Amino acid sequence: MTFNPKQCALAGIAETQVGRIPDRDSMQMYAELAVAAAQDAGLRKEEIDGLITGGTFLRNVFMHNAVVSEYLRMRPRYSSGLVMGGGVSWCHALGEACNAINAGVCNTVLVIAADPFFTVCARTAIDLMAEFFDPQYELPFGFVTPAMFAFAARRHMLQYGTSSEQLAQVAVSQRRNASLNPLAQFRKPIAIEDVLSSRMICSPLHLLDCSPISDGGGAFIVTSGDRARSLRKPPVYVLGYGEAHELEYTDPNRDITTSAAVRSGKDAYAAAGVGPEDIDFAEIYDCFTITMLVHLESLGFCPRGEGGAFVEDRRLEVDGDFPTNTHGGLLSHGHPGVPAGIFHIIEAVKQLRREVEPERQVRNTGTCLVHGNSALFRDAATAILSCHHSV
Amino acid sequence: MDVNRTVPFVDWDSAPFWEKLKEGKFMLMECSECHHVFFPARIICPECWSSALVWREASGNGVIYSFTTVEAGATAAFELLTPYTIALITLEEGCRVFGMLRHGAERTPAIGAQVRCDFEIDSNSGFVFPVFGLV
Repeated sequence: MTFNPKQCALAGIAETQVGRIPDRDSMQMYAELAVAAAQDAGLRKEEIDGLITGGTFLRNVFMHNAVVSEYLRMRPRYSSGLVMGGGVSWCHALGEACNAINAGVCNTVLVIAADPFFTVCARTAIDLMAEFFDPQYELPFGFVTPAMFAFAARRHMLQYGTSSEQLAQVAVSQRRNASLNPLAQFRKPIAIEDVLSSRMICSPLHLLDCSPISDGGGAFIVTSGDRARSLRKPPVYVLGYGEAHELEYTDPNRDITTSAAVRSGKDAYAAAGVGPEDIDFAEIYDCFTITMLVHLESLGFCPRGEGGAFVEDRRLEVDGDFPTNTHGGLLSHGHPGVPAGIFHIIEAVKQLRREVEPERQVRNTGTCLVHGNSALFRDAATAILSCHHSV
Repeated sequence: MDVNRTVPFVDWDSAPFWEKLKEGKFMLMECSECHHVFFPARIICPECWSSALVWREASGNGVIYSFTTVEAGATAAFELLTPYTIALITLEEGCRVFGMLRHGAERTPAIGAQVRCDFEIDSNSGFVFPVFGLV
């Protein structure tokens, strides 16, 4: 790999409460997040010369990045709009920011995504998301997002003997993590029985195997390592980055129990010079419980097919053997649509800087893996982060 | 089936596929150069990028690769139909297709079960849809 992100670091972060934010529209959240991220980094507006924005589910905003830039009265060197690339978007944006900085196009990139998805779309969210499906081969057959993940869950059960209880354990552990996070949407602890007795959505996935719908947003700032060292907060270095794109779930050669993360992870590990055994904790895009099992396997944290056994014994909890989605993940921290995966990166930075509430601080914070994925594990982006320049 | 089913957005590649369904035929495409059989139809072979393509009728036989019953959270157009079962089917010719699966209350689908393609007209739109049933 020629890609060398090691000169880049996350220098600032900002996030809203996730859940219901009835008093802010999307653009207002974008603006407040920009200000808060700049303050966190100790940067003035004029020192930010790159911008990546995520759009909004509320309406189709043409040139969204330029509209945000105008609202904030910024004149960046580099500006890019990510138009709803799904769960892979924010790890991908981190890679894009590093690329732009390493190429010398700009020096400091602000990445923002925010949406009052719940307040505006609670009743129409399913139909809104359906607009992204194929209009002749999926939609007319009653296709919905959870169905696609149910296909994978059922295959995983057949191929590896995975149980509904093991899937439920993911939701239970992430809820425990969320219960300690004051910014999370769902904080009341749950038990495996609660997941199994929640309403069936698409068999074998129950309601609590699925992400909720939320309001919220987040932002992060990427700059060169040299510059980051002179700023307010400890730099979080991007030690490695990898991306991969596979064929659709309808391709006859796709095993839908594995992810493009096998390739993106391999490249990210190679760039960082580490392996899965060197990772202390992980933040993995978790739209459904099955998504976690597949990625724990595909990213090499356990052998293929053993994700179900791996998550037992509360291993994913903040004080477990392998803390994962320490903020509560999409399942419990919340899923505000477009910004969904940005909180995994923000949480990684907070944990690595050791600035979260003491009761949820992960013990070993040497190296963290963050991962985004879209479209039933077809698209994947993985980054390895650390406060140390090398592992 | 009288439901407000979403009408397919037919494109130039797929128009013959939707037309042939009206004759009870599920059409795949085959590349004359590399013999890759694929679905849905495209203007080039996705495997070798040749443009020498022929239509080929599927036998209609296949096995279930995976399936789910949608019990809640359907789109507005399908809300009244819940619960309904949808499946990924591996056709005899090797293609993996997405479709509705009809099974009576007395029969439970399973991965690997044999299915056969049938055809159903949507009286509102006039479109014929492929549906799969357990053999």
